[in-house]
Amino acid sequence: MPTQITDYKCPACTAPLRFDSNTEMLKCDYCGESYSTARIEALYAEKEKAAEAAFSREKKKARKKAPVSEDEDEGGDWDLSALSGDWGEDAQGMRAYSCPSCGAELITDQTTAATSCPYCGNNTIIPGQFDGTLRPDYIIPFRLDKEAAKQALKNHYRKKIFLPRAFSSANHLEELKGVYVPFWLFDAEAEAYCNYHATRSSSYREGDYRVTVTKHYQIHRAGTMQFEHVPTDASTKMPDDYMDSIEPFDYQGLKPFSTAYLPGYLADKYDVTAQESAGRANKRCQASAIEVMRRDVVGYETVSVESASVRLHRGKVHYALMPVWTLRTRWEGEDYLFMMNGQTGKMVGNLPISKAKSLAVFGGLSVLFSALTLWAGVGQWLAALFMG
Amino acid sequence: MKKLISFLAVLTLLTALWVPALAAEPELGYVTDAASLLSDTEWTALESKAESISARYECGVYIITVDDFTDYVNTYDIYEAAKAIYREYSLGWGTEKSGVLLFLSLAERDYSLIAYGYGNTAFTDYGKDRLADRFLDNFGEDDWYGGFEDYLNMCESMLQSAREGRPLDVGSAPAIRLVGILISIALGCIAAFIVCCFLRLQMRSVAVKAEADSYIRSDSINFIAREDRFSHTSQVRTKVESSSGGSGGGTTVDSSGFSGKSGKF
Repeated sequence: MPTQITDYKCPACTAPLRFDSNTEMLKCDYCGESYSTARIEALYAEKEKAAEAAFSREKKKARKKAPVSEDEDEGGDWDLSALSGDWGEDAQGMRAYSCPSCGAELITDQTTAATSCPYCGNNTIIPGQFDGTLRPDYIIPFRLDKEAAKQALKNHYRKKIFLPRAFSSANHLEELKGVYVPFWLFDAEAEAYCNYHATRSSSYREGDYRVTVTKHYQIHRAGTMQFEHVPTDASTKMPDDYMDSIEPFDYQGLKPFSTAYLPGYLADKYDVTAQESAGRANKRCQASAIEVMRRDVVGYETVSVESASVRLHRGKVHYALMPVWTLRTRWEGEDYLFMMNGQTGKMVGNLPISKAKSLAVFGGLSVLFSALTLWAGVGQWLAALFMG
Repeated sequence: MKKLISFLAVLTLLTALWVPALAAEPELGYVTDAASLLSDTEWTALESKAESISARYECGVYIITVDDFTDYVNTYDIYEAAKAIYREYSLGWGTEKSGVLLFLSLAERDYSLIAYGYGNTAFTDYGKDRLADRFLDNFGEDDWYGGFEDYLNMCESMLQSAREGRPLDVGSAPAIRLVGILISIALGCIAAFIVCCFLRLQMRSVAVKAEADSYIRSDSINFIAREDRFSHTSQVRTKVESSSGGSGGGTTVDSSGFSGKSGKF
């Protein structure tokens, strides 16, 4: 059953608007007009009120009219027995919507919050996904566009000696999507108590003996620190390692959430709860707290952790949408996934390694380094030292 | 004739060393056989060969034999005696006085092998050891001519190597050289492997983050306890191995500019 969805249309020409990352305005590609997100939001809030009023008036009118008789076609009913009954269990994870531009039925999964119509390309937002408690607190709008993502991918290939020569030329971009990925941002205060064993050594010669004196110390450090907005992605669609790797986001760019930033991009709502994500954030905070204490132990030759405990006082959790470009390429039958931070431009993605190039580089370097060590006489010196 | 030469050699040595004032500019040949170990023919052949080598490489190659070195110098150390004779007779080639001297004393079967100037470059410590090995077996059998001939041949070979820029040294020994080459190759491969590992790491840019350092508020770190407490002292005594057995190559030159070795034959 199609559900009502909305899109943002140009007030001047009614063509679909999209969020322009360069100007941070909603732009109409047809008439070239640009509008601030605040202006469009206000305009649509008014429209929504008017639509609600009109809807309740029509409802009242309809009640007064007599019920319409059922179809009286004499041809009889179609035989639908050959059709599958329904979507079964699959239906639970899917939603159907009508495109407000062309009327096509859009099938999406239940976490999709913004998408584009595959028939007319209209950018649409599914408002129910961001209502009530599901509404994100913040959003970092896209600052880099599709072309920047393509260029970043090219740059990612550069200076990679082991990259197969054909990879960058023969592979082609299968998919390029700008996605607002849901993230949980955790605030916490950590209280760390750490004990270390440290040593300092000195040595001197006494007759035929070298005497090494080692002083041992017991070190204790305790302290507190505050973590602000530790991010963990809240979408099972996005691999955690990729999302961790495109960090950090610049929180100066955090803005209060508005659906006006979404047109032109895909967006998902979370499907991993804050409670489920908290474990990852906690581990990261604990590791950092111990490391901060460790960095304060200076002036020793060796330092080893004897015991460490971190008490986390959990603070607020925020729900935010972060901009990510996902790029998928295909080469020799294998998919390669790359992701770019849509705000900072940090590109990540593992690249294939050419065996032939690896061997050639290893061989070349081996010859070069062997020749250098031979020329410098290092090998002869070591041989003489052990055998002389 | 040979006896006359030996007599003159002894006389010259005695005069020069005991009465330095009378021997202002004493001169010796390349082969001075005061101990009469050689025949005339042998002496002539050796003298000629030594002179030829010395001229070709501009580095004097000398042989001096005496019955008892203590008769000539006021020392009981044959190494010091050889140095004294080298200096007194102004041995050596050119202004640098470059040369190598094999000095034999028959009384206690002592020998000393010293080098000076460019001789220090051509005759490394390791080279002198190999040179001594070459003639000592002959002298052990009283094969004087054979020993001197081996000495001169080896000197020629060593001077030639030095001229080519690779004087006979520790690294020149076949076994050590081979092991040295293998070590160099192994080191080269290890270095290449490390560089390749680093380059491979560049191909991997995706990893789970284990820390959250970027999200610590810079002004929020507050230490509530800092305690560094001395616990105890431990001591380890390690015997220092003598380094006399090992050698890194090169030549050990003393404060007087000589290098050398001495021993028995």
